[in-house]
Amino acid sequence: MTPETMRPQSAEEVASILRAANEEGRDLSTSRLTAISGNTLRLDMTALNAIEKYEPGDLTLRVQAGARVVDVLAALGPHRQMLPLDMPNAQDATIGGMLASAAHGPMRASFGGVREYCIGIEFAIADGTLAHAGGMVVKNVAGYDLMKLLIGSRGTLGIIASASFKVFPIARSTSTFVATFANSEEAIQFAQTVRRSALAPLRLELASPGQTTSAGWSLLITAAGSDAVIARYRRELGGKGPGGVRRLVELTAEEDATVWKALNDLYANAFVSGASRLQVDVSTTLTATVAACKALEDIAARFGAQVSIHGRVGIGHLIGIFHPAFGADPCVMLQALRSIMPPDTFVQSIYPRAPIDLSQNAGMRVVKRALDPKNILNPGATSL
Amino acid sequence: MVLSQALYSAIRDLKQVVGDDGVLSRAEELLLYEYDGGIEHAAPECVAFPRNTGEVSRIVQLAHRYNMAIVPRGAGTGLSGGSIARSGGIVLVFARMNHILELDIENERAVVEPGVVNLDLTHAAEKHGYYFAPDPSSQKACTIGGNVAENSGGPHTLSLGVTVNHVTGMTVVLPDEAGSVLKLGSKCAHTPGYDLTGFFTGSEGTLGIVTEITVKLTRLPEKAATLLAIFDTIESAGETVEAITREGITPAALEMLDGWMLRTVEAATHAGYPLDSGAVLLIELEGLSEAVEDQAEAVARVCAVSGAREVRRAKDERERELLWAGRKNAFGAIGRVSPSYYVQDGVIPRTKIASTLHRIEEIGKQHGFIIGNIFHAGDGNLHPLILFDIRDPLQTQHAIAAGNEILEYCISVGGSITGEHGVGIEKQDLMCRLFSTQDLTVMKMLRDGFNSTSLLNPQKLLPSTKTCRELIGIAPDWLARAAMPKDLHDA
Repeated sequence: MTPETMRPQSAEEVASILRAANEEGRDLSTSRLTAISGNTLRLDMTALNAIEKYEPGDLTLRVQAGARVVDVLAALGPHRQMLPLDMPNAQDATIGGMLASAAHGPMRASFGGVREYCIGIEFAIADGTLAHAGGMVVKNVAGYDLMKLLIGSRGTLGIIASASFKVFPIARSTSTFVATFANSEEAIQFAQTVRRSALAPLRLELASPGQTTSAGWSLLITAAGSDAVIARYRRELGGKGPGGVRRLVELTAEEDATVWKALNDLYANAFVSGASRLQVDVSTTLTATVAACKALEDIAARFGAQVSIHGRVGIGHLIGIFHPAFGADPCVMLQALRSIMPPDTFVQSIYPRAPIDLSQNAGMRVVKRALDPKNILNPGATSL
Repeated sequence: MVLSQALYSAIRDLKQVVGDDGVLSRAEELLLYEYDGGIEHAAPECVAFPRNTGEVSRIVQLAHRYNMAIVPRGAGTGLSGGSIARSGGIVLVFARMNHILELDIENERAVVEPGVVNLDLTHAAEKHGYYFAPDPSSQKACTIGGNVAENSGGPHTLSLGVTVNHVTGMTVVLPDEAGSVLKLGSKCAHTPGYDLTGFFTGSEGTLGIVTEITVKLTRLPEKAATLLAIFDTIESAGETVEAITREGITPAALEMLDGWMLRTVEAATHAGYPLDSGAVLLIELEGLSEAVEDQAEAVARVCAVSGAREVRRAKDERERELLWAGRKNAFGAIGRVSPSYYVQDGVIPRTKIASTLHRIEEIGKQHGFIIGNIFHAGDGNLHPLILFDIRDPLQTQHAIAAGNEILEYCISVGGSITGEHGVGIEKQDLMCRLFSTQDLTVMKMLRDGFNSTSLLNPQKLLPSTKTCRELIGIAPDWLARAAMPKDLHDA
């Protein structure tokens, strides 16, 4: 049975749909990816797709949640401004989906996640209350920071109707360098050397063999700024670590665009085609990153799988996409992976998509009870 | 002062938790804890100095038993009444929880107790080439716990962000009957689950008591350059801020002082500000040497086009420190020229700086006040200082009105009532001007989820009435009381 879908035309309509669903005790889903029961109401937010306010002179933007990320970036581009939303599936992603999943791409290495530059939000909670937090100014401590709560909550605390952002100037010019290494340990150690230097790259991304044109482990380093800045990167990167950098190549503009697209497409291709049966997102400390990456490699070897690894390695982030040439249960693999990860490391299963575990923390349960006591909002996205 | 039996018992029980020397209860001892950096004041019933998370939890349990409010307090440098015991009760001071528990340079993190002084953390990390980026002007005294409670900013947060952008985890004691301890976040850049670390930061001590904080440390920049751009008028300085923003230049800091303010500061600190100018911009650029030089050139070009008379660059570290000392000690310099001041903390879009400064000048003239301007122009966070004598009820009434008009104007141009000082008591009622009833209802639902009996920091942040309409135009309590004739104060 196809679930009923509603496509609200305004934030008020979103609130009114939630109010009715809550009164009926009817579940509501905003995810295109989660399987839902026949009685669940699916909410299609794509009609709320307007840019409500854009102030290039103040570097601020307010946009409705159903707007596509690519359309928003296209609106900012002529003013030489942007949001660092270079996540996979940016072509299809909406602003609301991006916020709900706290999606990010390689530019997270320098800009941080979207929580660092979302400055305001409009959202409806389960009982139909339509509320706002933050505003349209880049510094604001009035009231509780509900942006932080809603970002990454996967639509389980409220349905985002619109959001405001700080936007950023597009760098005058950029250049990406690819350093190649024999193994992940050398690549990650070099990443940390770069991170501790005066260089502040726009992107600092690890890629396992085969994901770029090189055969070894790659570290992609994007410099941004004037010619003098990029020349400095050229000098510094070429000179670091005798024997550490097997090869350093500076990409052409075309190669640059190709390699970043390829890394993002890796996720889309593996996931959408069904080629991958397990994808994990790893968050760890800087000192544990080498061990975390080894754990991904070891589990792949143990289960006879292939794994593509990339990530914002300079901030302890890794993505592992396991390609099934194996018959193992992804859950068994995941459990084995967690058991060999270094301490203070978090492994989230992105596919199959694991729910937010509310049993971790009493504070999370308090918030959920306050905003969605009947658990009607994307109920499959949380577990107790 | 004769203590009630209940209070006597509570103090006795508190001493069993924190030791005899960990509780203050005599009237003369409590005087110091009636105030913060603002002008609001209210006396607690006692003050307690816990030594660890366990003692904080036991104090929460005790507070429930005796039905006493708890007000957490760092150094008391806040400007909005956040650490004032409006409902009496126990002020919980973290002076004994002032240890840097771990300096983990390799992971670029520090784990600290809430009583660690902001600048002390930076000094400890500097030896290793790092620092703690949020730098409120009170950083020589203010504490990390207070910074977390208020989501503090400071001049250098323009490019690096405010406190919430530098906190990755915390331990919180909840105000439930058990004094439950909650661990949030971690040392990792991202911890899965709801971002409660971000939500608790800036909650002004109304959701939980933070007893341990994990912060990010930032690498010291390779190079810093401090520029002083000098303008004949405050309007041209304001327009330059917009031009710098529009040009895509993001300085590490971009501060403005108007002519009156810089002359007052110069008389006190001899920082080198030009006495005949209408306004100056203090611009700090940091980062890779090549990037700093690029930015310095771009800033000088934009300033020249916008009408700057001159752009000077600090020749050495001493000159740089002097320029910053002038900025950071500015509020103190006011004490030489005025018995009182009322400082606002409004925020406006950068595109509205020039018009807002013009409006502030008008408001000052209408009410007969000098209003000095010194503020974080780069992010539109104003600090107009209304100079008046609080001993004069008529002046106080006008100061109230002027302050309200300034914040009303900030709201009218799409801004906010507070960029970094917090709402506290001072701006509590103005929340109704900024947020709707529904907005405040959701915030109250969340607050009540954690602080259902209002044990923790009651009567702060959120307005005390559901009907916002009733509160339009009402002044902060302290100024309203100060404006009353003396014989009505104690009525």
